[in-house]
Amino acid sequence: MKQKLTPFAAFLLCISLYLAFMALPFGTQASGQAQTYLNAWRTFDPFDGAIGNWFWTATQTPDNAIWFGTDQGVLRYDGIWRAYGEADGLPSGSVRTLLVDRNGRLWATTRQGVAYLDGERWVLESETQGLTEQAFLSLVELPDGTLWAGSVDGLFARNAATGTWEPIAGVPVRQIDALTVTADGRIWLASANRLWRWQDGHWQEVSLVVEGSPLASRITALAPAGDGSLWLATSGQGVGHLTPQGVHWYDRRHGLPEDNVLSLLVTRRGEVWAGTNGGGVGYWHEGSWSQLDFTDGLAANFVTTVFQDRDDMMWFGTVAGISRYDTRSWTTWEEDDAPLSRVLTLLMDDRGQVWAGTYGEGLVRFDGTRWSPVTVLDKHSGLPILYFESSFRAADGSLWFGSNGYGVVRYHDGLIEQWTTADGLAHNQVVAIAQTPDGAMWFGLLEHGLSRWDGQTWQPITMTDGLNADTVQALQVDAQGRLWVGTIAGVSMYDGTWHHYTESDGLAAADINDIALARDGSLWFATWGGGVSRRHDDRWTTYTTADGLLAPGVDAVWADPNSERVWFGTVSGLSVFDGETWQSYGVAQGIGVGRVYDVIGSPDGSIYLGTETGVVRFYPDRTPPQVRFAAVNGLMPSTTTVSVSPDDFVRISWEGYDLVTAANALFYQYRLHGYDTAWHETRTPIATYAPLPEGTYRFEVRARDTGLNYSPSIFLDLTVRRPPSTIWVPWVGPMRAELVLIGVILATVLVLVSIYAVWSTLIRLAMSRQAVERRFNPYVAGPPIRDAAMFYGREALLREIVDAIHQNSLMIHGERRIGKTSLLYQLQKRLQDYADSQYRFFPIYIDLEGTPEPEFFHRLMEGVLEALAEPLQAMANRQELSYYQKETPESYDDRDFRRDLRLIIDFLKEHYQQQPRLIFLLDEIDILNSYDPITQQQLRRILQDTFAQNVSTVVAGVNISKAWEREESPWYNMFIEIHLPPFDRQDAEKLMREPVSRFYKWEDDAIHYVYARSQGRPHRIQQICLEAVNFMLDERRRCITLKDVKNAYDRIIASDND
Amino acid sequence: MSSSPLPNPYIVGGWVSGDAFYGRIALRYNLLHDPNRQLWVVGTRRVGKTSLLRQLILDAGEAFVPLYWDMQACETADDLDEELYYALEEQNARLQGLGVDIAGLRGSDFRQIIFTIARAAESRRQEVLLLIDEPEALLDIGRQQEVILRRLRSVFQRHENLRVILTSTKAFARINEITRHWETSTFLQDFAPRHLAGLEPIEAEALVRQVQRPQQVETDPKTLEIILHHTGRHPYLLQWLCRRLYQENGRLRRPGEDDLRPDGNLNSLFEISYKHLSEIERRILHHLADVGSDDEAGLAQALNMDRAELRLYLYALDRMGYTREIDGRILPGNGFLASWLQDNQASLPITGAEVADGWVAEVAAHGQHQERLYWQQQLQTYRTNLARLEMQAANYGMNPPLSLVNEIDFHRQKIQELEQRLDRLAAYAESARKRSSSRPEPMSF
Repeated sequence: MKQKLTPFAAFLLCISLYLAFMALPFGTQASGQAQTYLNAWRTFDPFDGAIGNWFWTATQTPDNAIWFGTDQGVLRYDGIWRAYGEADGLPSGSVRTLLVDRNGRLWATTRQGVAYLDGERWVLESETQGLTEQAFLSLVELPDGTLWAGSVDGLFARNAATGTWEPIAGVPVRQIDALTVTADGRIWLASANRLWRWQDGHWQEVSLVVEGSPLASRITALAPAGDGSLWLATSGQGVGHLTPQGVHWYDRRHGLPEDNVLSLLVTRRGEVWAGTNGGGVGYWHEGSWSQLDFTDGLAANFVTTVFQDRDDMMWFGTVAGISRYDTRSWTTWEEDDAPLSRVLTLLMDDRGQVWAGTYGEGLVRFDGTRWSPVTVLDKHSGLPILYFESSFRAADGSLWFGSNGYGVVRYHDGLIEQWTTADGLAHNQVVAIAQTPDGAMWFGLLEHGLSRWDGQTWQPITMTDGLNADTVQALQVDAQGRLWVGTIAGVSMYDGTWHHYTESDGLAAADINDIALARDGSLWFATWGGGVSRRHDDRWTTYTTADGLLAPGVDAVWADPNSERVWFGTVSGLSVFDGETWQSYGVAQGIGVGRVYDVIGSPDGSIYLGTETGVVRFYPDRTPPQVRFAAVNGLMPSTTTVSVSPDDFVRISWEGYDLVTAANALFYQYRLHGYDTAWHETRTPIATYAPLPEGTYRFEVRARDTGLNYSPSIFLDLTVRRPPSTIWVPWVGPMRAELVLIGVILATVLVLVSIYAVWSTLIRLAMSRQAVERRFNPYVAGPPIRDAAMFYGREALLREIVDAIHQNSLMIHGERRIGKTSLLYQLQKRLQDYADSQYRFFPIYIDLEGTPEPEFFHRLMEGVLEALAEPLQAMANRQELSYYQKETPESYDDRDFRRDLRLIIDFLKEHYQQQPRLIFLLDEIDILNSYDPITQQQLRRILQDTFAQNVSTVVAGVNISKAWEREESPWYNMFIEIHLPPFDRQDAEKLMREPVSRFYKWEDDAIHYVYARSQGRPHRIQQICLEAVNFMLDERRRCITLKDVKNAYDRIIASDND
Repeated sequence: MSSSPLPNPYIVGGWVSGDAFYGRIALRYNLLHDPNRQLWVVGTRRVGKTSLLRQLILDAGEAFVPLYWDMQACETADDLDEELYYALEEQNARLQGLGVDIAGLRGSDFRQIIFTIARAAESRRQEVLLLIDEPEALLDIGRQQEVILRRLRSVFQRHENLRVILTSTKAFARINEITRHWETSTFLQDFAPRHLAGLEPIEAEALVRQVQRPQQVETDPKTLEIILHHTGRHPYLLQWLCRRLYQENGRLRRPGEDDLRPDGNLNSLFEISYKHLSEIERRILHHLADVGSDDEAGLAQALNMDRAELRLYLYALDRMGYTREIDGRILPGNGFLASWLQDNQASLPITGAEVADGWVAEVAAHGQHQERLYWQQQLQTYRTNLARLEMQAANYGMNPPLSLVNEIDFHRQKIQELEQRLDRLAAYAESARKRSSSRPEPMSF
């Protein structure tokens, strides 16, 4: 390792580090934690494929895929999102629990029962398996492999041997909200605010007391801990920790971010994560709570599920998507005792502790959990030694540290010894340390060559002794016991005599910063400016940035003794070579660790880096990526064998995906067996070959992620052969294949068109005949039109209304049977599907017909709750609405309504990104005419409330009275009035013709007649049409004539008169 | 490239605030800072009274604790208490910051509630801003339980850090009829009236162009002029007409004849507004419906009234937006009203008005006095500022900076404008003095 900074170099270093720091936007930290995780957050939303509004549960299958249960089915993520819904066999609605059983089978609880995944299809356990169709909320696997499923109406057990379900008797409650099994094998059941434990063959209730009172909040989640204890989450009183000593409760007063907790998880390390309703995630670690929220990188503060995968990644399902929090890959420390200044040397002792030699903070030791300083005092001055540049672990386990200005220090069995020039060391700045098999220690010195110490005497070695330069920067002993010395002028090797190697021998550059011995016996040399050189079997190979090294300035090299991987600390970050491919971690890869002065590996697979600002730990993930073929020459291959022409280029594309590495950061190797002699390497998932000679080939490709994990190879067999160029056509002779093909296509198209024409005519005739036989008559003369397909006309009016209710309330009035109710129905449908950038519309249709005045506001809220049933499922305090508290509908007044509506709107505001806008569609508003004016005034007060900006109202009636005797403003003066007129000629004709256009015809005179007689009133049009078609059908005709409509009209008039 | 239609931005009917609220800048400032802490904003239906109160909640800032007390549909003292408590719930977070546990106030009467909030606000040097909407409900309550009105008046006067703003129609003046026999003073005596009618021209243009939205509405100058003229810059009419004229390309089309005729909405609005007029006011409007416009002398002659007395009613009608004066001619306040009057004149009764002429005259006289005080204050401020600016300019000698010159010009224009206003008011005031000397028992404010 090198340390000789000129002022200018130091300036450049500062600038580069500053830039590197500025380019490091990814750092995040859990408040109160000492660790900081770089590049830790990633959020997946519907644009990525994470479709759903509510993510209720998550699990991981043996193939490493992560699964989520959502309000729209199930999602799978393995680098690519795949949604499972009704088309895949799942019932519609929410999946509340996912579970992987001991056989690796994935189970889901749904609104209609329990389902499992069989291949790519979900199979719903049916009544034949003993399971009734009802909503299931919880599922657990017992130690003996039995599954228990809790529903809204009981608990069921699945016999693992027979695969059948049976209800479990003796369960103390009907609705089972949560089930779990603790590490001691005990089963726990939660329902509402109560908890039971299965013990000695019966359920025993566990007393849950919070500050002297029984728990009042609902239990929302149960989470078993590894020590056999149980954590439980509540909807308003925080979380409880149940141990044999009792329950300890934690709420906001203890640092929990929010008392309404939606989800809970205890990690393998015993930390607790609590997903809250509005407060983000609470994190329990070492006796205190800290918080992660939107400002840290969490997608939203409403966290409905928390999950930890096998790579210790945390996954949070929120209302704004799924957030992944990587607490493993890249870690730095900010605790008081952690090194924060430049770390020039790192050392691993035989207990796995990491020692960091810093430039300004002395020695610091990390025991895997905490950092602690190791004070080394200079034996001459008594002052602490703060500058260390090199380190080495000797064969006896003692640790050696080379300092800047204070010689060398040995730490052994807690004893610290120091040697300086006063003892015989040639210089007090020790830049490198090594030990030869004879036990002698070697020290590389700045401008003073080497010092050798055999335990007794010191021996200086300089250029005069044969060394190629007196500034030594690296030392390494190879497998043969030879000493390799890296200097500023190349490499010297000592095997009894000195040998020298420079650029002319194949060395990348003369300025050597570090040397490492690899598992295969080769030596790696880190150079300043030339990249790295490898010497194996007396041959030199150089690797530069062209090969994948991050930068030509390399400070450190460390060869993993357990693999082929060699790690390099460069001026721009970290690089690694696994013998085949390179991977780098720099700013461009999203990790700006800056200059890496030293690298060292840990037995657990993590890599520690000494950087300008302390130590960084990198833990490469171990989940391999996957790869699959996408297309060959633009077509998706249906088999693993593809034929191509020798005249064509061959373009093969594939798709790689990985849990951790983004698709665009994956690296691929491919080769065409029979053609290529070596792997091609690329980051673009496409291989293109010039036209290949005829023959058979095998294409192989594999992906590699940033953790250097390789996917299994996939193969595609290519058969290159020329298709016959001429075809023998009878009576014509040989013809060019292309011409024959064009001819065949044209002929085929002609035949198909003819067939279609004949076929459609026949079908039409047949349908018409059938229509007559079945007396098809689509006109509706009685009830309002609900079916959008049967709703004609009013298009401009509907558009105008939809436009207006963004800001306004409307009053639609028109004569009886003019289509007001039908219009409101269509409005409701349109608003349900309406996509608006600002608002999310919630149409609420309420028919006020027959509503007694005392129940008016109750009826309104009933309509609200019916229309919003699904969105409000997640409203935790829904049961607290006055609507549910009042004993009779009459006792529910307008103030109750306003308070309830305020709560509901507040909930919708929190749960939707767009502003909620509730659209009341109040039909038969004429009933207000019969109400006391005070009720009308109360309605106005509702519409004038603060929440009015989230509410619009469309009222429809025949004759809305404007008689007003009260002193205050009249209730109706806040509406825009819209008169609903009869249909114009165009709309009326559409209404007549279109419903029967595929089966029957209309005479033009009949159309004129109907319009004239109906005067455009849709109900009357439908009446006449209905009757006219009946007349026509009586005579088994398919054309509606003037006679039919006249007869129809006469009959209707006669009927009206009767 | 096609673009999706832009939604119609105009809001007709519901109250507005924030970016959707336009204008009333001077009035809003005055309502929050006037030395008089009891203010009564009088306006016709739909003129934007509720919106003004809602906007004041936003304007209030940290110095005030706003409480919006909606009195509509209140029939008893319990109703008033309940609605005031509901107002507290809306401000729960803010009140918690003051250390007020509002749950503890549930079931308390309004005196207790206001006392608690005022005291808590006082400890933080804040003012309680009590915004009362639809106080007309007090008319019925007062008739049944007069003591409630006494209690209210007592509460309003009790707290020094309580600012009360009432908004209502002129009909609320009848509250003084109920309280006329009080030995102290009538209910509205301590309230300074403020009139609410059309917007200032620049404010009206801002509304038409929707300048507070990211996507402004485009209109040509002629269309804008027609809109402003025909609506009399009445905010509801502006929104109503612009909504009609708005096109999906974000422009307003030129209004046609049909657009400028009142529909069912406006008919009912004018019917209600007409109800709140006194007999003399109705006669004035009937005459204007006959002749289209007239000058003061013509009106006095036609109505057989003293010109000085007539001016008082003209003042009342003008400030409420029923009439306007252009080049010395008086005409209905807006084109829609003019059409409606012409169409319905025959069926509009003149006698049997709910509002007595006397009440109108009293309100007008008091309003003139208040308005004169207000404009005098404004004039004084502008004059002081002008003096300062001129001193600054003098320091530059012959070449003062252009910005300073512009600023001085602006102040001179404003002063001229205010002096003209005060001149006009002086004429009204003269009539008010004459009137007060001719009537033995004026209704006092």
